[in-house]
Amino acid sequence: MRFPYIALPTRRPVYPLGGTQFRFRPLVVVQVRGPSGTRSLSATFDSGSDDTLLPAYLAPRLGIDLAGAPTGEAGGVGGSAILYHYASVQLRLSDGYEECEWNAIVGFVAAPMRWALLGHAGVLQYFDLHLLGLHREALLTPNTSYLGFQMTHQSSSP
Amino acid sequence: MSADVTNEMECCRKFLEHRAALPATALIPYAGRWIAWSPDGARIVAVSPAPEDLDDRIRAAGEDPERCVVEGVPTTDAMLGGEGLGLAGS
Repeated sequence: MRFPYIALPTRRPVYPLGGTQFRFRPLVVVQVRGPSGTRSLSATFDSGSDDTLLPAYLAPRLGIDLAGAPTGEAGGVGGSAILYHYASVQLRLSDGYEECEWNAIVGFVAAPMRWALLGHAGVLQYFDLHLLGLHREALLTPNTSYLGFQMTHQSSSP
Repeated sequence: MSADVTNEMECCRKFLEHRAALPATALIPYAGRWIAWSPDGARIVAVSPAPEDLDDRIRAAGEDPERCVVEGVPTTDAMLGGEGLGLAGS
């Protein structure tokens, strides 16, 4: 699957990027399916995140009860540790030409999230990810550990 | 391939095309808020200061919360690893 980077505005010129007023990120749309609901949200591939994290407000809308769920803990850059609850969901990614859907254990964080974090456990462990800085594209390919559903549209990715 | 799957993949393709073509400056008015995109990414159907409120606003706009795409628009110029966790003011 091939995902173009998305341009996000900045308030000030970005000095290390020659003064441009954009930041480019590999944002994708992840569809999350639970026992009784589905939601789609923007997500970013994050090799700095050990777990895949979603906002906790989604859990009841997916039909997931986090009471008594296993917990995890993580520390961010310069921040205090945050707790989150693990649960099983189905994740789906597609670039419109290929589609992958698989079961994953993800963390639900009781904090506002701009976008979901697609980290090692749950996502990157199953895929090979190439970030093409020159072309501002992310290429995601299922690896041999991937056991989910995979479908390719008749016409392949451009 | 079923018609549903074909439609969903077509929607994904259109979403990525629309999203990539959107000028970044178009999101400046939404900084610090959460937005819901139409399933094909052609328009923003709902805006909220809190993501929890978006479902009701999406329904009020006549759309299905299960098909729209939710995204938070950051207010900061740079984000470090894991900073998708958008704490207040970020």
